Amino acid sequence: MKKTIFPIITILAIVLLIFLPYFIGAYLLHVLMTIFIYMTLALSWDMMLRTGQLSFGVAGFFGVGAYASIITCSRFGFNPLVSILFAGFFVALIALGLGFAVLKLRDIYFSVTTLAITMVFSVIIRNMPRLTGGASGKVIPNVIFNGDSTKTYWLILSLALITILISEVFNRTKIHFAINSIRNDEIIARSSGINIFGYLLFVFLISSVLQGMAGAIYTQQYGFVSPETTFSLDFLLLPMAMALVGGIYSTWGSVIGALVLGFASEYLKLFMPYGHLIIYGIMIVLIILFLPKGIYGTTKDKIITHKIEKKSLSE
Amino acid sequence: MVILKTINLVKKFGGLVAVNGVDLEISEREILGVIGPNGAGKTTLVNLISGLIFPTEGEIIFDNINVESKPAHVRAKLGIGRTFQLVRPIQGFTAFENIVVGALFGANKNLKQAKQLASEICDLLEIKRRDYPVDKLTVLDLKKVEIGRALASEPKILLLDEVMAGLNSDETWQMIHLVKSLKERGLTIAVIEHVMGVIKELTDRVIVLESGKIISQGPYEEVCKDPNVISAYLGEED
Repeated sequence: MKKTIFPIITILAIVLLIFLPYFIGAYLLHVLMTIFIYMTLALSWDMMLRTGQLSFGVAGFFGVGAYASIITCSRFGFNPLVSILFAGFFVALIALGLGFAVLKLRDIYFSVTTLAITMVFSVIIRNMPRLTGGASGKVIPNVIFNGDSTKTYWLILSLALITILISEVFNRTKIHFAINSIRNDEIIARSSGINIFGYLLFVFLISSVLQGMAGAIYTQQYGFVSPETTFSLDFLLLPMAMALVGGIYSTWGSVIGALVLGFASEYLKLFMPYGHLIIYGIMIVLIILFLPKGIYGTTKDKIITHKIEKKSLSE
Repeated sequence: MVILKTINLVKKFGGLVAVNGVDLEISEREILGVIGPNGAGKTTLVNLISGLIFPTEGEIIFDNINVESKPAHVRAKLGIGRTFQLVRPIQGFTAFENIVVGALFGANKNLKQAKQLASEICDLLEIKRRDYPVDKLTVLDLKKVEIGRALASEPKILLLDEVMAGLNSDETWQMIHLVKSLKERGLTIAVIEHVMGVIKELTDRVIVLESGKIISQGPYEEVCKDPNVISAYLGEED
């Protein structure tokens, strides 16, 4: 019963999301696009966190993807869609090289190094003005799909859905057992036969590529890159806040977190311009204080504890 | 047939020589006891064999392959299973899922086969509460989960590092029966233990380590009478 209902709901939800642009206005559609971009970042950040590695490199790969896409598009005349794929490929190469170095590090050393790498990316790009436009950035003559927001929405939606799919695959297959073991106890993981470095590199690659492609699509949507805005720490801190508010280590946590914080920030902005950040901040603090495992995580815990209590009573 | 052999195994931690030239042989279907005073190098020896640390000198030959430079996860796949002195279940997993981890990666099974194997092992070890998160289990069950995870990786040799520690006498007896039944299933086992009664019950042969060296080996009764062993445990007679 439960097993047949779930796929039907999923398919209905996807169909609804696909046809949404025909029912809602341009403003709401725009809000949704931003939310889906952040959702992709939040989920990909969470994928890395599930292995126990707290990455601060989200904005870095986001920015590199953005620049790779804009440069190939304007300089080498790539089709925007091809340039987005190329950005993913390019970020994969960089993540592969960096992975061999940074994935030997753990805890705070890993986090700080990934943050430093973000800074290094932005410095390198600032100092290659002929290719990247330097500090003033780069503008492309035309945005993707000539600014057709429905098509752009579909593109962003597909990236978000792919990310959700990958995240679910990570949570339902052999990979789930590997990364959960690595996070909890590397010594146990090793002596149980898990190739720790292999799995870390794999997850690092996938999450970086998703972040890079999110960056590429985001800039193609606006047609503009600059070191300050593209490597903005917003692309690190907001996704982190979303994943924490929704609940880490799960797909639906990040999805819920992105929706809650995304809509909250938009509507608070309407009520009190700039003042909304205060309420936004208070909201995050309150949720993390009272729902330490996030909205989804805490609810799920309650249900599981309830089930166990019921079971031990019946025993 | 000899399944595991170490040749002149040496491990130095800076100036401290933890294992000092150990030549060890374990035959198939044998239960070998490893005893020795605290700091004799027993756990270091297990860590060397399972690959968590690498030897300074010497060779480890397992199943006719030199494994001394292979990483731990490769050795686990080759068939060296181990448990830890302090139980280290994977938090956030149930008892059952902990055992699935061993089957998935140590024995290279797919998810379905791994679950099948894990539930067989749960039955064999009589693990109750297999669907409970590990932080809700008793010490005996945790020890069983620890052994279960090692067993699930389908090892040829099982290294048990003080599995009896923390168990009461009843539970110790259960555990002794369990280890014996594993031997009957064709496993080779090395037990590190402080409780001499357990060594007496279980082992076919005993080696005694002191300051990283083997000072005596043979059946339990002989080893106990060896003056070297007595002086290592009780000190020299004046």
